[in-house]
Amino acid sequence: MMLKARVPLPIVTRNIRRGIKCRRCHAFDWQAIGGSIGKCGRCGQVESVQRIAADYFTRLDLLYPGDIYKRRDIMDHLKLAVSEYTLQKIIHANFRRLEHRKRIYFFSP
Amino acid sequence: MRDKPDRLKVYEFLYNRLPFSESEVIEYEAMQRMEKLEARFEQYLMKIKTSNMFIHWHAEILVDKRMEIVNVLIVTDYCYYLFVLHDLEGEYYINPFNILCNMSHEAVLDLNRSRQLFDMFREQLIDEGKYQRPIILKYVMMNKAFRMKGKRSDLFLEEQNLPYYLKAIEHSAVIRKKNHHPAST
Ligand SMILES: [Zn+2]
Repeated sequence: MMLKARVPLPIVTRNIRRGIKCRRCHAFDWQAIGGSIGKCGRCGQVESVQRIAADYFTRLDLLYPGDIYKRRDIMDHLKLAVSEYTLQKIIHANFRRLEHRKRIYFFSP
Repeated sequence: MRDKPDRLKVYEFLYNRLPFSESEVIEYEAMQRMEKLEARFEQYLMKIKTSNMFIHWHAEILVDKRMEIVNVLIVTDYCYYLFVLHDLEGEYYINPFNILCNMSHEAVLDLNRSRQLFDMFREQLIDEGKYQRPIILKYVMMNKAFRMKGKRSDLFLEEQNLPYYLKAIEHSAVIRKKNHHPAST
């Protein structure tokens, strides 16, 4: 319908730089401190790990809708040193297992 | 609650992740400026009661092969209001061809396109039954340093008048509720 905003940019290349970056200054210097929060090493912006991970995969899904992810892909996208517990929490909140297969997921918050 | 357009979210996400073309940089910067203006407009909206209104943010419409943005569409039981936000600053005048020009006589905004935009909405926002709600289009000049020289236009609404304008919309949306026309959007 005409009131819809345009669809996301058509991205032909899949060569995007992966990893969490800062929402405020766009630096790739974001580190988890403790299990639930993280901080930008450049500007000091502090955010919840869960929220920043959810935002990341939400936007990724706008670009590549319907993609499937292995557990390894998810870790590679985040590029964060987080505990197994935090990683499980991120996966649980943002993904669903593909047809009950182990460690293969699709985005479904 | 207003949400950023998906396209802007994607731009923000991709910034620093891959190189942007020149046209993408231009579009990204323009969207960031729009986002700021819409956020400011929202601040004004938050000061009025909007329960009798339907508000739609950031509609992009193709008019004659060029994209036009209606930043805010407010629908009440009695009227459709289209707001297009601008952050022009300095002195401007309207030339005989209905084009807004700056003092270096450069064309800045073709006001004839407002008519086309208006017509497009009029063709689509059709109410059922006898009552067709009027459609009002306003260019909101969101920069206090915007000045008009010579002939003025009803199309423009200056930022300092926006609170009163919105208050009037709020007021009409409430009192007219009594003789009810159902809002359908
Ligand atoms: Zn930062």
